[in-house]
Amino acid sequence: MGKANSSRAATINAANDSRERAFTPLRLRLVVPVTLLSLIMAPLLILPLVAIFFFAGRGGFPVFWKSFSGAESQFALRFSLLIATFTALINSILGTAVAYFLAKYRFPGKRPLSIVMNLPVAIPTVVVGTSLLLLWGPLGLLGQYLDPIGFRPMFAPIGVLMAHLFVTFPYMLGAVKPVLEEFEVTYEEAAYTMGAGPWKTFWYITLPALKGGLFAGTLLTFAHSLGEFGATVMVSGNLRLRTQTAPLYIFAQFEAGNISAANAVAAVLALISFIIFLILIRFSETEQKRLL
Amino acid sequence: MPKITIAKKAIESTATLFFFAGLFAYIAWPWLNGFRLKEPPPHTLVVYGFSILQEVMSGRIFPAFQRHYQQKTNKRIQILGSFSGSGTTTNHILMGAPAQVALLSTPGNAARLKQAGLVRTDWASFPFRGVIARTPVVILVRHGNPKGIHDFSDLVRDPIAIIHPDPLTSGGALWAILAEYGSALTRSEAQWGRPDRSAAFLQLEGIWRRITALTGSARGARTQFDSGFGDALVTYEQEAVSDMRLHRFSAELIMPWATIFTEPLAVIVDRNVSEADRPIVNEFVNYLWSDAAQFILVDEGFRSVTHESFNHESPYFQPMAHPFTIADLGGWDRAYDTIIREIWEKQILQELRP
Amino acid sequence: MSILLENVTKRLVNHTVVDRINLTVKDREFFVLLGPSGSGKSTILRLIAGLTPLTSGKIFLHGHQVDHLPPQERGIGYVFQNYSLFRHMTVADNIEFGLRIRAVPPSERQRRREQLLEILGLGGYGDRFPCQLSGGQQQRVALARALAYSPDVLLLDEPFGALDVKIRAQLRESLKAIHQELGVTSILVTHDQEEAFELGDRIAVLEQGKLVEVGLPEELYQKPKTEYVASFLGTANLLRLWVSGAMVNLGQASLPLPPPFTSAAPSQVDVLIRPEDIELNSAQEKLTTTCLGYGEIKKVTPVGPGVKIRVTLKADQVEFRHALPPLPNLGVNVIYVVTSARAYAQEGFRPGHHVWLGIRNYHVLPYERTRVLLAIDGSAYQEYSLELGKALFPALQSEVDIIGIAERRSEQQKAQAGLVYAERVVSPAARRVRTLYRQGNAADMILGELEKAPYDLVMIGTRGRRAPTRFKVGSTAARVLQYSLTPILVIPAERKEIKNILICVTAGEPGRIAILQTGRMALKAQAKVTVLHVVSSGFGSPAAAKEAPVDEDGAKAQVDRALQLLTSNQINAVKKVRSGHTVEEILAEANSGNYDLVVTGAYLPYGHSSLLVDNFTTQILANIHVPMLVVRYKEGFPRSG
Repeated sequence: MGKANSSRAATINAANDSRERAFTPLRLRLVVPVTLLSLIMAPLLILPLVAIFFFAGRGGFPVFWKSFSGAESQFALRFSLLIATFTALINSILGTAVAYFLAKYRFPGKRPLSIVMNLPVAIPTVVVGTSLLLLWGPLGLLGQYLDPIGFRPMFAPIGVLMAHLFVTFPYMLGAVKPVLEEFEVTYEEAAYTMGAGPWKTFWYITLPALKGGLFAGTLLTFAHSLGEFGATVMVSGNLRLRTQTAPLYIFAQFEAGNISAANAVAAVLALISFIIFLILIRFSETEQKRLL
Repeated sequence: MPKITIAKKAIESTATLFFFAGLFAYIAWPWLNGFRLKEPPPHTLVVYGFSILQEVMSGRIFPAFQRHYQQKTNKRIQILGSFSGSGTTTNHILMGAPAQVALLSTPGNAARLKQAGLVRTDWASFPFRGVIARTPVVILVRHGNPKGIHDFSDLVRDPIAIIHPDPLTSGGALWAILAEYGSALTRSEAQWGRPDRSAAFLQLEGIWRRITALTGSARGARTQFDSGFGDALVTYEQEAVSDMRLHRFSAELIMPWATIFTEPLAVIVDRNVSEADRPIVNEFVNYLWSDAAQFILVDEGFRSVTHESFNHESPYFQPMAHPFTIADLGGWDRAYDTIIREIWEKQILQELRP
Repeated sequence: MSILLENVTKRLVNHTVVDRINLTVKDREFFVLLGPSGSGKSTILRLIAGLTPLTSGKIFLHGHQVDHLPPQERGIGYVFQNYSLFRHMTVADNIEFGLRIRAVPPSERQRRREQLLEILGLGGYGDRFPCQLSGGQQQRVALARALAYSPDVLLLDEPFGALDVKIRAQLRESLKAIHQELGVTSILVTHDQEEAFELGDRIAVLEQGKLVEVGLPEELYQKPKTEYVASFLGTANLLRLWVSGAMVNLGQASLPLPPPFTSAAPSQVDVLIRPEDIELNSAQEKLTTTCLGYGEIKKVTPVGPGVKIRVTLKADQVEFRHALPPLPNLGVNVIYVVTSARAYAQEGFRPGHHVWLGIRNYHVLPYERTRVLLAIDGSAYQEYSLELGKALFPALQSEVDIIGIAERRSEQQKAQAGLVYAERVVSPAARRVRTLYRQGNAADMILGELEKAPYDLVMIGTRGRRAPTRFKVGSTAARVLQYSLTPILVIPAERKEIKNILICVTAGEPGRIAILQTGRMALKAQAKVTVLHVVSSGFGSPAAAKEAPVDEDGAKAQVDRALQLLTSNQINAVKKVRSGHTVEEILAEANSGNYDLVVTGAYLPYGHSSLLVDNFTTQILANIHVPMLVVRYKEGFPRSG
């Protein structure tokens, strides 16, 4: 181990040296374009984010804390995180299963099916919400039969979960399916020949290989679910302390003019999403390194 | 060098782990905590309301009713509320939202719920035909009234930008249209002895030409106006008064020479009311006309329907020269058909279409 | 009897990947499956492992039938070409995987793992991840992983395919050593002959899903039973020669034949002379072996410790035909010689030198098969070809290549459907059937195929569709006839069997070979042969009159010789003489008699354009209603044996 590592360390050192040497004149040359780019991008991307934190912190910590610690905001944030967790968990299982079948088996109608599976990405989320209402609502296609027996998923947490599962499913599929498609069948075959049955093979061989895609997909799903608005607003009923997610809370508070309450939750939501995003970035970097 | 990399990676994974552990601990906190808490309240009351009722209901009347109910029956109840535009609220309830009591801005919304079979108890049998409070449609302008607006008739002037709620989703917007049209009728009747429909038409059309933004609810319109958009906002008086109470009212309230009293009403959504819940629902609806509730409503800027004397308690209510009500326009159904459908929707909207 | 395959077959939708393989691998044997890509060798391995389901047949491992068992229960070790090491596991975990699945206690697992790492020279690598190893090391780990749980059988699927030559050689050494140490019965799949020869106790050579030959490496190399093995292994001078008595003549050499080939019946054999078995010398007197002839050194290529020399024999020295042409552009009389580099240097040979060749050793293979190119075009005539083919192919031991040609891309589907159909019809009758799909001009495509491989017969069902009027024969048949020396069979009428053959020897006398070939066909099909001689009173046209010299006496002698040749081969042959207009008489005889096949010759200079217009052959072809075999031979071909 030591020998290989020291030689690798030497290469890294060499690379660092050359980079430093090359950087000094480059830095000067980069000043103008980087400045220009920043000037263009700042009002588009960077400043809006700054504004959230600026407004959230404007009244000082006591104001922020008072807005943030209220029962409704706490519930909304917690509810969003809970829904995001379940969405991520369920979709990681569902997405893996579907990706596995799509990548591994050939059957008629496979292509249309994989297109349909990815459709939620293309459909506006509000439309997704509406369609769920039209299916499960008390007047809906299925809902009209389920309503009398007391199964009313819409305007309940289960409805929010359904909407989030629907909307985030393609992200999970998109993260897992390419990994499975690249995953050569000989790995599984090797395990079979060594005596491992299909389940053991999946558990010890396929799943670890999927780890990266699964992790990335779960995080992506989590982050998307955390920020989901369009479909949620249609199906949640926006009931405080019951079905109001954090984005809905932010919107409601903002509309009601309670900017500070909206901003407190918005800032926390942005922070959580930002951290998840950072983890994703770091993860994909290390994954690539390992692949190389 | 590699050792540092490994250490850095370990730190990163640990940090990630802690982040998620913290997140999940936060999610699970109420449950972790819940074992130490007393039993959760056994009964829940779900109230859906239109936008401007949010603060008065969530902040004042719900807690007051909870106390009232506990004193009366020694039982704790939980009240859940959802507030958005009156039309949106109605649609949500139609689509299956679990509202037990709906507080709606217009009788038209209530009629839709009744038509769908969700509401069976006739609200006309309630006190004051279900109307829980009144508040006139007024105009808000910028501090110092730089555009010199004193009545609806001033809104037709050219360089004015008006913020208005959207009649599609907001009950307040429908009331505003009735006010804009009806005020001209009232004025012409006072001047010439009979209502002049063409003058009313011209006034409504003139106002709608000046509208620069439509928002989903009355509350949303005010938020937008507060954010600095527009010269004038047509809204409920209560919106202004509730701000005045909190001394954060920076605009100026213009009471038109003639305007309509809006009449928000309460209905019971029988579909979502189980037999076990019915006493609570009935108790809540009746509580809305209790002195305590009416006093709170007045305090929050609504005008009481039960005791005119309550209204004199408030220092914020301006005298009204020529108030009129929906009954003066022939009742909601007739006013809606003739003014909103026939005039506003079929004629003015068509003309304004680019 | 460690591994036993019985009639193992794997069929895909319209393609047989593995065709009735019977194979026995002995205990502790290192067995090699050798074949080009697409020969089905890897599929056989996967069938044994259970990774691919069997279509039919039986597989036994150590006497137990396993073909119904999943791979987990077959007790095999499998090494993949791409290593397939589990990337998320360390080397140690990879090796222990099979043991862990078998719930072997950790101490035992560790002992076994250390032992294997030691044997494979990977000591100390246990903690590494596969991505930290070189390709060669990874393949060693894969080997260790497959051996860890002491499988009954080790299957290696081109394990060294992805490695460079030097590491490959090292790994071969280790593999051999491991096999000797552990004695596990092994099957290796490879396309690399060197690998096969170095590792294999025995080698099976595969072609197109069929087992061609099994044997010891040196046996397969020196004494192959089939042309395919002879030419597939190493460099081969594989010459197709005529037997005369107990000898074959090759240039100046007369080589005695081993007993099975000595026959009074005239026949062809393939003679294999390995390049190492040819002696090279500057003078005939110095040759210590049977002299073959002399030629010119064309090219010298170093191979290993020796040199490979390409010699072109002088045309007047030897007339022979390569069973498989080495490379079309090198000419016909090419002989490869391999000699030690030192010997070559001592003699001071250079390209351009004239040298004498001697034969040190040779091996005789039976030549029985005929290679037939069957062109189909989707017309009604195609059915005639297929019907006749069914009768003909068993008699000729034919290996049939069916060619379907689409002139336009839009016809591709139709052509391919036709191929599938034709393959199904012909398959039971032929020794082997291949299908070729081509797009372009039909005649060009057929001629192209005829150049690529030595076909003995080309069948063109129709006279040609849409033939312009100036062609009496269809354009396709005419052009093929014009540019190829391969006998061409045109089938304008339906025949389901060959019982009665007419050989016309008169004007365009068919050569000896054609008569012999026809004779063989007649013998196998137990047909009656009539040799027709027309005493000529003129030709159909002035153009035709020029093309064949009228030599009445010669022709008569030719008829007698042909008759003699046939009867001496126990063929029922009679002579018939008619007189009159040649073409008319032949047509009258052919169309009147109860003939199933008419054989005629076309004696023409190569590429002669008159064939396209109007001549003896085309006149007959245009008017005949019997399948007709036209044997064409070029100028200078010996007219009598």
